[in-house]
Amino acid sequence: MSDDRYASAPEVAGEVIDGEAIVINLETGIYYSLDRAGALIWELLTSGYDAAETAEMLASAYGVPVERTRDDTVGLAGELVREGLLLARTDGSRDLKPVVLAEPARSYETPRLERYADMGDLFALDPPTPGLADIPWRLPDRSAEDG
Amino acid sequence: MEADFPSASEVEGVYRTLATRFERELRSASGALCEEKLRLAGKPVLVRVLGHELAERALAAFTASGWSGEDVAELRIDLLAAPVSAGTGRDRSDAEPFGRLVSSPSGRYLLHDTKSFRALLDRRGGRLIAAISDLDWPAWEQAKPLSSLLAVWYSGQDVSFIHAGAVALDGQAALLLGAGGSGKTTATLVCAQAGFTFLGDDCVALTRRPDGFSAHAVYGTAALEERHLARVAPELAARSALTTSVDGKRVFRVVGRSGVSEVGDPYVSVLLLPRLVGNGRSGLRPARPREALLAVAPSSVLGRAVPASETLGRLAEVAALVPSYWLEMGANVDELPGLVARALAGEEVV
Repeated sequence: MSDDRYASAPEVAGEVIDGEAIVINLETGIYYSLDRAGALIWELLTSGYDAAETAEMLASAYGVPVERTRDDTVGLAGELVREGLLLARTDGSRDLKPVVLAEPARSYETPRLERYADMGDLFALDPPTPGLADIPWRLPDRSAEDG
Repeated sequence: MEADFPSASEVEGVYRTLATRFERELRSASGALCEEKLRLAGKPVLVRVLGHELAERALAAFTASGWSGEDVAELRIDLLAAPVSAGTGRDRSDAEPFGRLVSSPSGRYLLHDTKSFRALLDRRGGRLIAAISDLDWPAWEQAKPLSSLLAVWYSGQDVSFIHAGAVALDGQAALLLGAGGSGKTTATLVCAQAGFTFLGDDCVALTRRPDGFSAHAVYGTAALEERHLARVAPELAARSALTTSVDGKRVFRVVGRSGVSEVGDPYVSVLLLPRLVGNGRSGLRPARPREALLAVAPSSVLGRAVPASETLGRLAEVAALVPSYWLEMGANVDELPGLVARALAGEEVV
């Protein structure tokens, strides 16, 4: 199963910053962070690399056995799918985005997904306006407009 | 019982009905027209309000400089006082407290409908029209009028509204990031009282510039719990012309419409993450970019009228570009302006 490919789910926004990833599930309001190896796995999987390629690149970057990174990649990908952050890709297309692998600042550690579910409290203080999810952010060509 | 809002297919018709009504009332009561040219978050905006009392209330919250007659307005905002059922004749009594956003099928027209105001945005045409009930315009909307639709329009102009406080000194701005209750308002107000330029207590606009990002004020208002007012901003609250209360918070004007005209568009040079430390001493501690993004991203992205991925990407760029510090807020708030000034000056912080 390590050649599985994934894409970030449509209702998910994610950014990698300073080697760490912040991922927000816009549907549930739960947000997540991933540490260094985890952030790299997220970045590679959402850039079109399959799980086997991701594990190899991770092993190469950190200088650890690929068996270890493969288990971690598959394990984390499964967790990300269960949280609704990644979708397994079933189509045959392949759209690889380049990922720059910086030299890791620390030794390899098994990635850990941190989960934050406190937005419910924040929403109670400052509730979102209903209907936001249905706004199309990209306007279509003029010819397709209403009227 | 669910409130009865217009459907997506009705939004354009509601827009046209309200636009027609505005033009008709403009012709019949042109003497009541108040016009303001605001440079709001860097864009020339023409505001036309029918009725002096409504103009006084509606414009009180904005902080903006003017613009010259040679510029062309990129956004027109037309406001009139009217019962908000005027568009459809439907009963609004069961409307959700914060209303509902409804988009036309293509996304060109957007409606924000509440019990006490109805606002419509033509995103392509750059026009926002709102009918506001005379009687019960809610305090949260008086503090930050039309913020949802403005955030949508500005996002199409590459201007991001983010959930942050901001103050500036000598052309350098500090963004204060955190969820509600983290201390953003307290920190921005004590800095404003100490002479910093106030850019907002929980809503500011960000634009890109060649060397990074600029911060822009949108609203000159703040909302603070009544019990903290005397300790945090007694002078500011006392001299505010606009003052109203919502959910135990006092909403008041910190700076007027000309409040930022002299400071230009300050460069965002530091991110501050306020956190309360009880009776301990206030101080600055370096924070990681990830911590800054975690402090601002969820509350700036979730539930906001902004495109989530682009906004998150912009916040990540800012966090990667400038230093971040925890602003530890102890019992003595008078220490905060000095700490913020040190962070803005780029002094070494251990």
